[in-house]
This record gives sequence, structure tokens and C-alpha cells, in this order.
Amino acid sequence: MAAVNSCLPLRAGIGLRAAHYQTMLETLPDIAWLEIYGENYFGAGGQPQAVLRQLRAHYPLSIHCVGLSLGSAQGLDRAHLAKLKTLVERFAPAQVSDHLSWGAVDGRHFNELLPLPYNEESLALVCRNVAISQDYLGRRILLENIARYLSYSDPYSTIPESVFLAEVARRTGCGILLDLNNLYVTSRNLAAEADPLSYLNDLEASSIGEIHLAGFEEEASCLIDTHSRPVSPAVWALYAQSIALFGPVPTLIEWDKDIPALSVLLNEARRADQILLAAAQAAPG
Amino acid sequence: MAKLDKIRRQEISHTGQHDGASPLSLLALQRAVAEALSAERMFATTAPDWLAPPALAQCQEAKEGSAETDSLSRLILYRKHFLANFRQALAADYPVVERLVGAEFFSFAAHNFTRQTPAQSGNLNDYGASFAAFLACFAPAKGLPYLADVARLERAIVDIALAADAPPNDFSCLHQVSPEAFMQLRFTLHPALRLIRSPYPIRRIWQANQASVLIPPVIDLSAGGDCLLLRRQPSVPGSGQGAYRLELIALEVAEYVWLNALGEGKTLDAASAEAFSIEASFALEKCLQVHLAAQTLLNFSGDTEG
Repeated sequence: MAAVNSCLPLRAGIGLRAAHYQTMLETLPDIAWLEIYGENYFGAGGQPQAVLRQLRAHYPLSIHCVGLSLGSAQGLDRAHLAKLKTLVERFAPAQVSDHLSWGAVDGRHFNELLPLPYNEESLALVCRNVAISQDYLGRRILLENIARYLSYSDPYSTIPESVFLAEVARRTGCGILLDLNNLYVTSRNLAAEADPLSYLNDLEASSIGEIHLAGFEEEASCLIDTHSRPVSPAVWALYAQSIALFGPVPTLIEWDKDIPALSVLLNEARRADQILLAAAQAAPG
Repeated sequence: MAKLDKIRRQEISHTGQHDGASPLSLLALQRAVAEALSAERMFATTAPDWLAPPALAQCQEAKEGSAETDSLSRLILYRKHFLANFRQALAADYPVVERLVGAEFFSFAAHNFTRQTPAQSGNLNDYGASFAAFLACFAPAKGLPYLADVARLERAIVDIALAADAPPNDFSCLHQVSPEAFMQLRFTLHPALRLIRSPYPIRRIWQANQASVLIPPVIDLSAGGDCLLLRRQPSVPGSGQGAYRLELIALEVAEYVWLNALGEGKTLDAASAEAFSIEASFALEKCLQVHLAAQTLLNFSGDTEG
């Protein structure tokens, strides 16, 4: 299978947030690519679209979604998918992604990334929803591992997440968006999870299209994927191990709450870039 | 692949041994989770059988209760987060309503709204469109009769921000239309504008309760209502920076009625008749000029050959 990681530059990007619109437009900083939350650009027009039109001329783009609900047993919301398609056609992104999760049942949406049980039934369902999305969008998508705070008991969850993700990628041809903060948070929160290194070993390097890095907080003895802090030392270590294992992968710095000055994000991205550069130089050819 | 095959064999042998009730299907499981998340309170003291205990290390660190209550606490955490997300989404769209009622009452109203009005879209930005209608009927808020209209004003601002862009109007052929045909024309309004009418002075209430105003002045509620035209304008014409500013324009009642009728697709003749019935001295020609120049009126249709 062809590698999916050739689409975005093999460098660090940052999440574009409204708080940074003006600074981004005025300074056009040296950053290899940008990622947006697709749903924030579903409107017909206005400032988000206008800003993105201008920035798109300077940066490759990744469209990351939170609302496709690829794990919903009742299937996909076609209206949501149609809006994503319009956005994809308008801005020609290098990558399109959403999560391995569900968020709606019986027409009721929770706007949360809720965890799935991993078994044969959910595997078939996610593969079907991913395949429908890819057919409809006319392109490959990336599927991201979420941060989980609960898991399902035996016999509901029978397949490790890493094996589940790898199998969805094998059956549908989709790529994987490996969120290392989520992987770390989940492995700390849940007893049944494999250690992160054996998780990484279950994945094919060629299927990893993008890596996400972010910061977490702790609440009631649970690590929460808040995207409100710098990347933690433990996640940086996991990142270095991942790059050593998979080679350079486009890497995003995500920050959504208590958003700092743009320069803070750019510094985090620079740190990721150094690790990516070192890996690229170490690799033969 | 080999790993998954091995798991499959284990799964088959496991389900063979499983002599209790069959596990829930994925759909039934998602309904059970949805029910747990939507419950007004977590009454259960024992975790449902589908919920696995959290990490052992974490439980030992926490040293409170059994693994079972800890797994319940994880469900409660999800519930707390999803309610907080909705409250935050509402607060982002209705900051003046929050300031008027205070954070605590706003949380109470938001929580009640979320219970009554489940989100119907995977896009959180869509949430809360009917918050004004909810507030109008929300008994605990009836001491603030203007609150729902302020919420309508705030929702209009949200809608305007993401409304479609439109190229400048071109009315160069309008002067070729004969006077009789002219009055039969229909106009469309710019998509990034809204008309709002309230018996309360919602414009002053809204302005006085912006975050930048430290101490809101006293507003006389009996001073009369508002007819407002809200629209999105580029912040600096031609700057191309993508920023917009909001314009709140107070209209005369007749002018409001006239624009509203045009927005409903009525002919210029019918809309003007409505305006004249309100105000005999309604300045039709001036209003037409002003709103053509300001791009309020975007397009027209009708028999232009006259």
C-alpha cells in the first residue's frame, strides 16, 4: 500500500485558531502547514472562510473533523458529510481526518468523542462508515485514536485499540492519525491498555499519515485531553520513540483551551521540527 | 493480522463459555451510554456491567472507594464534560444574556435547555439556535421580560458572522424599469443581515452589557422598543484582512416594516403599502436610495422591460 504520509510536509504544523487569525495574517510565520477544525468552517461565509482563503495561499492544509461520528451504530450523518465535502472542494486540503469514536444515537448528538468497544461488530461498522466517507469524499481519510477515560468490560471489548486501528486501515485503505497525547492519556487512565510502545509496534509505518501532540490536565485521578498545556515530557519521549520507529511524520501541535500567544505554539512546533529533522538526516538516502 | 486472528480465536472460545445474558449489540450499548450521559443524576450505585474498571494504578493512587465506584466516576466525568461543553457553547454565543442573569443562573438555564433540547448536529457551532425561544418560556427568567429578545439579538449576531458573502449589487439597469413595473419589483436582502424588533430597548441593553462596560447604566424599560437592522461590514473597506465589524442600526418602525416585507419576498408596492399604513410620511424614495447604496438590498427580480 502506498504511504499516506507524503501528502503533508514531513514537518511540524500548528492548529489554526481564531485567536491567532490576525497575527497569522500579519506575520505569515515560518510554519510548514496548518490544520483547522472542519466544523468551524462549515458556515456559508464570513471571517473564518475569508481568513482561510488568504492563509491557504501560503500553507498546506489539513482538515480535521470532530463530528462525523464514524463509530455510530446507526451510520453517518449525510448532511455533515456533505458540508465536509463542500469544504474539501473549496480548500483542497492535503489531509482530511476524524476520530475513532462515536457521538450520536437516535438523532441525539453529544458533541463528544465517546469511546467505542473494540470487537468484530464495531470493527465491521467503523470499516463501513470509513469506506462510505472515503467513497463520498473521493479521497482517503485519516482515523485518529481518541483519549479514553473509560473502557468496556469483557466481552464488549476484545480487540486492542492498536490492532483495531491497524485492521481498519488494512480493510479500508484509510490512514492513521496517531495522537500520542491521547495514547499516553489512555494508557495511564485504563488498566486494560497495552503499554504505548507495544501499541506503536502494532501499527504499520506506511499507514501513519499524521501525528498529533498536545497537553493534558488531571481531574479526579483521570488524565483529560484538554489541549490546554505544553506537550508533556512523557509525550515528547514517546514522540521521539515514534519517529525513531516510523521515520518522519507530519506532526501537529494542538492547543484549544487557554490558548497562548502564537509564538508559544511556534516554539513547540520548532521542537518537533528538530526531532523530525534529526530523523530525516539519520535516515539513509 | 496474526494478532487479530489470535484474538478472534480467543473471542470465539470466550463467547462459547459466556453462559449469561447475551451482550448488548453496539446500538443497544450506545443507547445505554446515551441514557447514562443524559440522566438528570447518576442514581445507580453500581456500575453497569459493560463498564470496565479504570486503571488499577489510578485507583490505588486515589484510594477512595472500590474499582466499581471509580468506573462509575468515569461515566460521570463524561457527563460533566458534555454538559460543560454545551454550557460553554451557549455562553460563547450569548455573553450578554449571561451577564444579565449571572453565571450561576446561566448554568441553571443552560442545563435545563440541554435537557429539553438535545443537540441535533455533529457541529457544536449549530447548538443553541432555539435558546431565545426556550428563555421566552423559561418560568424562572420571567422577571426579565426582555431576556429572550436580547438572546434573539445575540443569535442574529452569531448567524450574521457566518452568513454567506455576496458580491456588491449592481442596480445599473434599475433606471430602465418603467414606473409601473418598478413598483412590482421584488428585492432580496443581503444574507449577512438580520432585522429584529422588540418592545424593549434591547440595543441599549446589549450595548450597556458588553464586557468592556464595567458598570452598566440604568436603562428605562418603558423608554420604548427597538427596530434594528444588524449587519456585517468589512472592518476596513478593502483591507482584505478578513475581519468584520458588526453594525447595529436603529430603524424607524415604517422602515423596519418595509424592509421586513421586502425580505419576505413581497413586491415593492406591497411592502411600501405596509410602511405607509404605519407612517403616512414614510420616505420611500430616500429609504430605497439608502438601502440600495448600503447593499441592504442585494438583487431584484421582476419585469425589467416595463
